[in-house]
Amino acid sequence: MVKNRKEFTNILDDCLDRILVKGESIEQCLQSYPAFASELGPLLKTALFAHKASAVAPRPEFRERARFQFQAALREMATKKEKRGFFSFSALPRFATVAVSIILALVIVGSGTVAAAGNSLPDSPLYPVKLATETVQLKLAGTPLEKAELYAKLADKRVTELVKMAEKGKPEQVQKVAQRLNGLLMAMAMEAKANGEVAAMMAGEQVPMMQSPEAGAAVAPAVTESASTPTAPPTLAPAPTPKLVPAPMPRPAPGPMPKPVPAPDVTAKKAPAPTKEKAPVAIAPTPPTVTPQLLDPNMLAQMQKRAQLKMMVSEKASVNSDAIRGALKNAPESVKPALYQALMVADSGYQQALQSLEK
Amino acid sequence: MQDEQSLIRRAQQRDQEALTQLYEANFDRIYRYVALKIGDRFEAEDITQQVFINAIESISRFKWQGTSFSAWLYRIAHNQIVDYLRRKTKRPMVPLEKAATKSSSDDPSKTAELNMDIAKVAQATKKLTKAQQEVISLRFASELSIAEAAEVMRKSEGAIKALQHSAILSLRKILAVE
Repeated sequence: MVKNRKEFTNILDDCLDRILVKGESIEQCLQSYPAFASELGPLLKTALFAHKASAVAPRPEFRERARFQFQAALREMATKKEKRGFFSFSALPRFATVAVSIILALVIVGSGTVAAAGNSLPDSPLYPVKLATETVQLKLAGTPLEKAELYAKLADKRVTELVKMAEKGKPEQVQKVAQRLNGLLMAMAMEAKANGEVAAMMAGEQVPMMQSPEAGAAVAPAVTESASTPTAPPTLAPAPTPKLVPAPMPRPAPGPMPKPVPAPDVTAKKAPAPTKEKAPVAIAPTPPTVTPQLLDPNMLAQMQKRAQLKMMVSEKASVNSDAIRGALKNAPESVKPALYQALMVADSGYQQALQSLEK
Repeated sequence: MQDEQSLIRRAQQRDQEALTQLYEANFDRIYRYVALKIGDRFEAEDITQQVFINAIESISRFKWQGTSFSAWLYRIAHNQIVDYLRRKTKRPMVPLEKAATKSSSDDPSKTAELNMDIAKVAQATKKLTKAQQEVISLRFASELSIAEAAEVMRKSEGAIKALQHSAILSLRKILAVE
């Protein structure tokens, strides 16, 4: 019986190979195994049906964008490699980073070079000064929301630079600025997300940090989870400074768009359901009330700030997207592919940031 | 094999051309594998992209010790899917019936029919055991050979054939009911 079953699985596999790889028909294969034809036929039809899944293909626009972002990540990696060994903010301990930032800010703020660099463009020798100043500004920004806001403002600058580089007919510069824009938008999304998680915790909402072992086991297929499983990190860590992280694809039509989430509601509707836990016997039971922490002015201020930031980002998304589209219309042909990619980066990045702010 | 080894060695030294070649050679099939396992077009896109970012970040740790590069990549994809399922967001799903296909037909009704069938396969596959889902995704969506699937799943070829048999049987029952 066991031998027969083994024989049958081999026959099934042989037929699958002949049909799926060599292009034979089901009938041809059944003729080779007449004794098994009645059992084999329906299974082969099912397998052929399942094989239709091989026709799934990435959307061309996703493929294009993913390729661009993969290339951008490669370039970023190469740049990091070159810079290693010189000076890295991230290599410093936090207190040292802050100290260096303050000293740098004091040294450079007010200097003529910095002022001149403020309006410099990517093809200008002063442009690295502008980027360095921005890095210092980011280091000095305090809360995740302040950082997110600053990222949003810096993204505006990148879009302006993109448009100007397009007008000058410099596709390579457009591409480089698009990469920087991508990094800023992703960093903004991450900061917004970080703030959202803090806000959720303040509101008493469960922010899942770790899954229970049972739940993990339920979803883990049998293939994995040995010590020798590749050690690729499951997700990219949020970057505190602008870092080129490929943005997830935008969600264009025809798929249903995520429903817009209203701005955080600061009324009692957000109150967590009253707990059913019994109060200790010695203490008089208190009636369920709105959790006092909801009225925490700090939290309310945070939520309002978050809602304002969301509005600001939403406006910027629209304005900047229009600006790039406008540039696309008038740009020389040689710049258009780079501009088109920049547009995709912008749309995708802003969408990601808005999604993070909705959470 | 020798070519692949030298390609990977170059990729490990951050040779952009080699990394791009590996990306291009594996992108579509990793996407198909993820798409069938997740059943959601957009999530599959995000996960596929992340797989390749993770791969370039950790390629220096890849070692030729009885594991091919593609098997290693599929394991990253598998881990990424597990990670996604643990953190599953409440984002509205975009089922595979709205996915793009590489159908050569210009007939919209045929394309629509193919998309519906793909969605049916994805739905039915979800009802299989995890190991059966894996073998169906690897064998029929990604079109891996028995030997390749065995390598990814760290099982013998005989075990994969048996699993394939049981998966098709179960799939047949599920599809017959639906």
